[in-house]
Amino acid sequence: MTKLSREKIFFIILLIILLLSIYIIYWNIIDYINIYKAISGVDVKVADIKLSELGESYKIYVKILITNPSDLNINFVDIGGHIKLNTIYLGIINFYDKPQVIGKRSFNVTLMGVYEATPDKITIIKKALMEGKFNWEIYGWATFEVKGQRLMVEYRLET
Amino acid sequence: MKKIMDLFVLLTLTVFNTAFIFTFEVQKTQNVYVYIVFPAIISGIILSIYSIDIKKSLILSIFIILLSSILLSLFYSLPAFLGIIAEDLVNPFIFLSVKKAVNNVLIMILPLIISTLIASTIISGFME
Repeated sequence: MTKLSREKIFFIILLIILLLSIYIIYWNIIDYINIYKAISGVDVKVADIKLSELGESYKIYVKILITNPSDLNINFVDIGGHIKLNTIYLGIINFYDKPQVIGKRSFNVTLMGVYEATPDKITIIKKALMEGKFNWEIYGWATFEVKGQRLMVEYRLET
Repeated sequence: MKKIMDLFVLLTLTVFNTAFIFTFEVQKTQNVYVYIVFPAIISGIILSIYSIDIKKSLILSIFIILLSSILLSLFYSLPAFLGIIAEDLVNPFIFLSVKKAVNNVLIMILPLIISTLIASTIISGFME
């Protein structure tokens, strides 16, 4: 009799622990999935490309717009980008004045990237200027973070 | 009946540990002692109360470690299975989630085994 009741009490305590744990897991799974849904819902797009000419040096300015339609503030970790002109690889785009946070429901946060042509790439740009043919290809990844969960978002533009 | 009860204890303690570690990861609490070490010690004590035999409780605790790492990696990689993540990121994401799960479970191994050993020694001493 005593052994049976001891086992029963043990069973009931374990059952309570099990149910509470399942409830906690359920609640956390919803949070976890919401975080990833919010980050993967962020839209990164290239809005504008401008070529500026100063004497013999060429700079390409890339304007990037970030939109966060979700209800979570998303931390901006980093962004990297590459640039191609007429299928020839030029180099890496440098981004300045990166934002810390993309706030909830903020649309078109602007980010400027600059590519400065190195001497060996100047000929490629000159050739494109002479032919008047500019087929840009800009692509890269932006990394976002919410509560330690990180995810990359791809952007790409081909003209 | 005994085997079913064994499985039930195993399942409960696995889910208990997993719940705490998952909370630790998702809510970014950074409190390792409360969310990983403490549940491991508690489950070690519960195990040794359940089976007074040291050998059996140790085997059960090893199973808890294995099962919680599997369960945690499943939970961590849920966004990949639900199709939230871009297709070319799925494989690295699953790899990273398994790595994260194993990293978290590694912290729990020592407290679980030590508390099982100590508690079952004390309890078996009481029984004699």
